[in-house]
Formats: sequence, C-alpha cells, structure tokens
Amino acid sequence: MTVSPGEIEFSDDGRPGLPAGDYCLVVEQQVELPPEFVSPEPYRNEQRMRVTGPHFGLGPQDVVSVYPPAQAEGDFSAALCHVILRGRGLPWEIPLEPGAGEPGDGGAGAEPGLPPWLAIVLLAPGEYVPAKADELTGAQPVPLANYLNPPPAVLGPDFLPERKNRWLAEFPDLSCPVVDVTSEAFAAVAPLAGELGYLAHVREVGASAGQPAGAAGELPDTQFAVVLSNRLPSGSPSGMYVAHLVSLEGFAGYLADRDGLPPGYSAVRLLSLARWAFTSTTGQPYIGDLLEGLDIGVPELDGSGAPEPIAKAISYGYVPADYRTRLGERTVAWYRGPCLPVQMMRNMQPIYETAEAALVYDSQTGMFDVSFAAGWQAGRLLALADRQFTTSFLAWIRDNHRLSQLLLERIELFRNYRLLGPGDMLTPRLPGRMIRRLIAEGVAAPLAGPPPLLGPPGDPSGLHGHLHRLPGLLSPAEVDRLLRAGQDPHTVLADRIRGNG
Amino acid sequence: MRALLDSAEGRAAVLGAAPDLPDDVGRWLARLCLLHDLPFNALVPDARMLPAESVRFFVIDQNWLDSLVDGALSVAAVAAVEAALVALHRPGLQAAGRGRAAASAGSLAPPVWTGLLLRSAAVAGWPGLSVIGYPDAGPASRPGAGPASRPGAGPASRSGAGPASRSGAGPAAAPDGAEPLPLLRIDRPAPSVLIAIFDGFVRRVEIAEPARGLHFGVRPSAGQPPRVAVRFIGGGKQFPPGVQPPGEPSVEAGFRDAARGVLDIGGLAGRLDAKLREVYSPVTPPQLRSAAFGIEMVAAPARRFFVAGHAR
Repeated sequence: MTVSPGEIEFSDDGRPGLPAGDYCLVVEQQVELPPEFVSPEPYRNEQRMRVTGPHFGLGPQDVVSVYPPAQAEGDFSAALCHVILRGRGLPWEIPLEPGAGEPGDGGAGAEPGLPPWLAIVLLAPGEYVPAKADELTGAQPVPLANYLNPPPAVLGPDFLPERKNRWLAEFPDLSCPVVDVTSEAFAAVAPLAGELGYLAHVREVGASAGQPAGAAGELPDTQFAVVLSNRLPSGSPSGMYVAHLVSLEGFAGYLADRDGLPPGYSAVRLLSLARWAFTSTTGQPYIGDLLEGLDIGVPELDGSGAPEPIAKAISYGYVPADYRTRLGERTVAWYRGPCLPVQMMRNMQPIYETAEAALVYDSQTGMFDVSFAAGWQAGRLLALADRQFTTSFLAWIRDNHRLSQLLLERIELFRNYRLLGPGDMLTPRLPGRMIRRLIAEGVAAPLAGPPPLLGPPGDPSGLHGHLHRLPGLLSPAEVDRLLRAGQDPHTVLADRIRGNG
Repeated sequence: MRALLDSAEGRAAVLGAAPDLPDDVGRWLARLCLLHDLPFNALVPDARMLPAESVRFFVIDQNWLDSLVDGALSVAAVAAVEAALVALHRPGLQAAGRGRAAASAGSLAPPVWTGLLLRSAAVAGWPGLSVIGYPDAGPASRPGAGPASRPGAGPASRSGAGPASRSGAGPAAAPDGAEPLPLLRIDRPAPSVLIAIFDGFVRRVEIAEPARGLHFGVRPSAGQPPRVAVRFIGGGKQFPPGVQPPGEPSVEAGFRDAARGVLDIGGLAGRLDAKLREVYSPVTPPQLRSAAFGIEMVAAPARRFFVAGHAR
C-alpha cells in the first residue's frame, strides 16, 4: 500500500518472513497406489539452513539518523531519544524470546506486540564503566570472545555453549564495541521485557517528487524502523548523556520483569551497535509554558488613579516625556510612537518642512505633543545616516529640477504665442518659424524691455533715442512688433528702402 | 518657477515630466515605513508598556509614518525650489513608502497595518518562532476583542488641522479556517523582543515553536509531572489518526524511576488505552500496539493562539 506524499504511515512491526535462526526444511511426499500394490514409504528430504541476522554489528548505512543529534546541546528534558534504521525489518530479524509477541485475539486493550532485539539504553556518566578507548561514550572494542565470555563480575549474554562456540568459530577475528553498564543502572534503565514491543515501530514516508533517487536509480528509501528510548534525559548532574543502541539478544532473561540480574555481578556487558552523546541543559522553561504565561494587552501605561484628562491621554497611548525646548526650558510633553493601542484615522497634512512644524500644542493644558515632531526628526536622521539613500534621492530631485527648469523656459518662451499648450512644451521638434521667433525674442525682448541692471548700454553715437526717425533703421519697438506679428524685419526693411513700406 | 508650481496645470506638467523614482529610494522608504532601524524607544517609549513575558497588539499610526517620511524627504530640500519639488512629489513618495504605486496615491483607502510586540524568554531561546495572524477572532473570541474603539477627539487638537478623529475596530465574529494576513515584517529589534507587522487588522495570532521533524517525547509543565497528549489512532473516518480529540485530553506519563526519568511504558500504554476507550466511546478503539504508541508519543511543537485585545 503506497503512502501519499506528505503522509507518514506507522506500522506495528516489520515482521520478517523468517527470523534469524536454524531451520530444517522437510519435504515429504506420500504416494498412494491402488490397493493391489504396496504403497512405498513416504519420500522424504531434509534441508537444513540457517538464517543469520546482524547479531554483532550493523552495516554502515543502517543507522539513518538519531535524535537528539550527536553532540547536540539543548533542552531535551522532554524528548525521548530515538534511532531511525534503514530497512523495516531490522529490529525484528532476531527473535528475542521464543514464541514471544504472537498477536493475541486482537481488540483486547494495549498489547506490546513482537518485541525487538534492539533497545536504546540512555546512560548518564557514572552508570557505565568508563573506557579509555572512547571517553565520550564509554564503548570499547573487544574481541568477540570477551563479549560472549566476559571477565568475572561482568555479566555477558546468556547463550548455550554450542552457540557461542559456533559463533567464535565463524567469526574468529571479529571485534565488537561493548559498553559495561553498572548492574544498578541496568536494572533501573533497561526496558522491561513487556515494554519492548511498544518501543519499536515502522514508519513509511510518502516519497515526494522532490526526493533524490538512490544509487543506480533506485527509488528513495521510504520505509524505516524506529526504535524509541524509554528514558527521558534526567538525573545527570552535568547534563551529559550517552545513548547506546544495544542488542538484548541473550539478555531477555535478565530484564527486570523476568528473572532479573543474578547476584554477584557489578556490571553488565552490552553490545553497542550504535552510540552517540549529547547534552541536555535543564532549567530552561518549556516554551509551551512560556507561551501560556504571556500577558496580552495593548501598549499603554497604566493610567488608573490619574486625573481624567491624563488618564484619557494615557489610554490613547500617550506617554509623558521630559521635553527640553529649544529655548532651554524643561517641561513635560506627550509622546506617542507609531504603535497605538487604538486605531486613528489618517489626516493627510501638508508636508512638514521642519520638525517644529509638526509640534502640536494644546492651549488648554499647555502641553506639547511631540510625537510627530520626534517622528520627523527620526526620519531625517535615518535618511542622513544612509548616504546611499540621500545621494540617490537628491539626485532624483535634482533631475526633477533640471527638467522643470527646461519646462519653465519653454513655457515662458511660448506663453505669448498661444499656439502650443503647456503639454506640448517638451515636444522635441519645434516649427522653424518658432525657433526664429525664439531667437528674436531672446534678442528683441531685452532691447524693448526695461533697462538692464547695469544701466542702459552705452550710446557713443547719440542716436538711440532717435532711431525711429531714421528711415533706414527700425526701432527696437518696431522690431519687436514685427517679430510678434510673425514678420521678418529684414524683408520689411527692404520693402521700406525700396519705397514699398 | 514659483508661479509655475503655483498653478494646477503647471504642477501637472511638472509631475508628468518627472523621471521614475529610483528603485532603491522606493525600497528605502518602504523599509522606513515598516519601522526598520528605528531606535527602540521610539517604538516603545516606556518599558512599562511592554513588560517581560507580555504580548502587546497595536495599530500603526499612518500619521506618524507620514511625519517619518516627511523628515526623510527633508534631506533633499536644500533650497526653495527643491523643497517645492519635494512637496509636489510627496503624495507619490508617501505611497511608495507604503508599497503602493505613485499613481494610485490618492485613490486607494489608506492601508491598515497592525501588529504585535512580544517580549519573552521564548523569543531569545527559540529563534525562528513562527507568527501567523488572522483577520478574524475565531470561534472562542473573548469579549472586547481588538484594540478598543473610542469615540471622541484626542487630547490635543492640532493648530489649523482640526481634531484627530478615531475609527474603531469592527466586530470580531468570523468563521474559523480564515486566510492568514500577509506578514509585512517579523523581526527581533532586541534579543528577547519580537515585532510582527501585518497588512490588515489582526484579531487572532498563532505563535508556534519553529517546526521540526517528527520527534517523540512528553509534554512537560512547570511543577507538574509530564503528560502525554492523546490522539486518535484511526478506526473510522471520525477518528483521523494523529489528530487530537476536542478538549485535548492527556494522561500522566508515569515513571518507573523518577530520579533517572525512566518511564513506566507498560503503565503509560495502559493509561493511554483507557483514555482512548473513553474518547472513542461508544466505538471500541483499535488495539494499542507499537505503531499506535508511536503516534501517541509524537511530540508536537508548542503553539498558542492569542486573541488580540485586552486581557482584562
């Protein structure tokens, strides 16, 4: 059954077809002949086989992830460690106890199910024998013989001697990491046999389209086995904890709800298939409690007990602030930031050109409201502090100025002609006669207009005042009039001289 | 030039001839209007307005933002002409600060921006808190939701500008499952202070622990033994697995060795089963085995819904 993307399916166990063990496959065939013949004995063939499991070690890819992450530091006091393993059947490949965990009649309350042979044992320093080989986790590699037959006072797994010898013969050079847990800690921490079944399940994740394919184009793994711990990180004075994924094969009888540990052993040697250490800092409050304890409200001071106008101002979010005026007086003013406890309508005021222009004065109470003035000042200071904004914005305004200047010049020039509207002022092509008029305007207007600042131009010939009487000349006023009328002064002068004038 | 800018058609001509506002100016103004880089005491002038372990809902004062933008624009008002041009472009620049195109400066209703300030150890300890705001108060709304609406004029009237009038929040009664409001800004101006600004009137907010992968654990609470929340484990359409039943039932976790934190798994499974029977009745729940146990032990991120408004 496929799981859709984004969904996770939990299954009770990945019961393998054949758990690890020795098997004998027997085939019998009974041939029945008609009654007048003698039926032979049944034909029989036997095949012995052994299914091996990962008794003494996991493959390098088998552990997908652990939680809390290795070397992590944080508040894990409410978290249960867990390990995610590749392959859905790994925790059930080796039967822990013969006949354990067969499903009951179903529907009868909580039932643990098939127990896994793996368990997570979470230990604090002091609960295991320190090892020089790996000071962080306490694991040390020992030859297989030292695991199966540990030194005195250390309890090893309980296997039949033939099995031990067989393993020793099969894996003579195998070295396995072990951790020696103190007897007291083992009795307290190791899960009960009846609990093991709850602590492992299978998770199938819906593969989403974005997941990368595995090696050689295989589909990404979607089925994982999850093993939980039964202990919350607590009881370590330094906050450091070590988690070991151990094999309980051979220890089922020593668990607390079975026979328990026999006396006379100070430590229990467990095979550590994976291990990691982390630090759990306690004393930090749980975020759920923090969120529950928040006080909700709006940003305003407590105005109870104040006279009515003050209480009202405070309820609108105003805060009395020390205000030193420009003249040096020290007084109190109201200030309110942009975060209001009430909603205000927006009044679009004309632009404030100075901070003081934004001061509000209430003549009844004699108090200033410096909120907007302070905001104005803050905006100006922030703009000044950002050189890029200032140069960019200033450049844009200057661009505007330049274009407006050009616009203005053209409007002024064309104002009297009324042939073009203001909107046409910036058209790139102008009629030729208009250009001539522009030039003439530029020349004639100063001549006809009021005297320039530096006084009238010099007149060495003394004729300026009498130009109108000289027939071969046009007075400036005449030139101006002709130009405005759209006529060319040269042609008019020529006509006049010829006598057509 | 003054005459040009005094006439309406002159102004229209100058505006029409204006080059486009550079992008970085628009962005800077938008950042400014979202109160970035402002000194903290400009936002919260008195520490008593935002005490430790509190959340305060507010409405942004658009008039204050107008002053803020005016102050920023003043850097270009180096002479009379530039000042006049700045004043001419002001509506468009104010609109740019709100993230709107200049052309629509006058035509749209002014934006309503609301938000919250959260001061708590949760902000410092859990960076990445997620904040989602909704415009409706949800089914369990407390009375007096929303920043209060008070009729009447303010304490001081501006000279020449008329009294500042208020409009209040509308009634908060809307069905659940509403769309969240767009989040304009979420930030930590101080290590343990979080500010979030929404586009719209926020009436309900969900603050949650940052999302993580699927983890297992118990739910602790201060001074009390930890508990495990009960969830449905399937067995019918009305019992979707992984969903908490209404009322959020939970059972005590229970320890075999309290000093070491070793849980009594068998007892916990029994208690979970009993509670499930209670929750499922009259239907019989499916058998609680390792998969169902795993579902019950999943640790959900902590989250809480807040309804905006006065707690009292």
